[in-house]
Amino acid sequence: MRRLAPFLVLALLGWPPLTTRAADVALTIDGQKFSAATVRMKGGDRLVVENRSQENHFIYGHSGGYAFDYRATESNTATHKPGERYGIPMHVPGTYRLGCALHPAMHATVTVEE
Amino acid sequence: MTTRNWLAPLTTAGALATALAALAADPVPSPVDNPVGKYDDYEMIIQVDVPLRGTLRHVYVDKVSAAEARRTGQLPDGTKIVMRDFVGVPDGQGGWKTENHRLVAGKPVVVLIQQKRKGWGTTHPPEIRNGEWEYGLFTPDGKPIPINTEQACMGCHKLVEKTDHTYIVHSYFADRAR
Repeated sequence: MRRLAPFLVLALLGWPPLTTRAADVALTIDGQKFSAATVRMKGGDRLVVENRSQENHFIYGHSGGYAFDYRATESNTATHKPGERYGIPMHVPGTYRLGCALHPAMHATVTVEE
Repeated sequence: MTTRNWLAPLTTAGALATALAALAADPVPSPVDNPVGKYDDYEMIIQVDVPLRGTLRHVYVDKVSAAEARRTGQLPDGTKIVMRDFVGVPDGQGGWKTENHRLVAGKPVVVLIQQKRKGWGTTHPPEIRNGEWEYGLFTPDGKPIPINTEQACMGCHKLVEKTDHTYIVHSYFADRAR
């Protein structure tokens, strides 16, 4: 028991810290709309976008001097065909405007916290 | 990293260049400037990562126009937007090297330019014309790549007329001028 005491003390003090597992934050596309107008997530979480519509979409996001898009294949004309689902880990904090290059009226705001 | 994973971006980049080149070139040659080798005249404003396939783009604007756009929030006459596309650098573990969570640029693939000048754009039909913007494509060492800019560029950029035919560059400056 004496040998275990230092470890018990450390555990009570919260060391080693429990690692927080990155989560998947889902956003779906129905028709020409995102399922939510605003999304909040923690740095490192994955922003997973699923296309439940019947048409192609080209999803991209930008915040100041950093931007990204969801192209996963050789195609440059769409990132999401009907039924496709892709996730990107969001590490860079900021407030992103998410849009579709093929449907400029589609918008969502994604906030990535530190 | 598998060979397939490593080759995918190169294949992608090659496919892009081939696909663009395969389109019949513009009947009237694009009047845009060749920016290759003149990057000191530009400032990089945005990095666009494509993490799922390991490619990235550096977006530049000529320094004179960038200074005015920061003041006014509008892209002035004479604006040159340059996009340099790269393949990422493999990290040896099946992914891509990053710095500050952004992809690291490896082999350059292609250089694109979007430029506007008073009086340009008149050779294009109104349903496709992007105001006074014209487009061009170059190899990383500066050789022009003939493309049909109406099909390869203007079709999509026509959709974002409200933001001066740009997807993110106009917003970048408009946000800062407020």
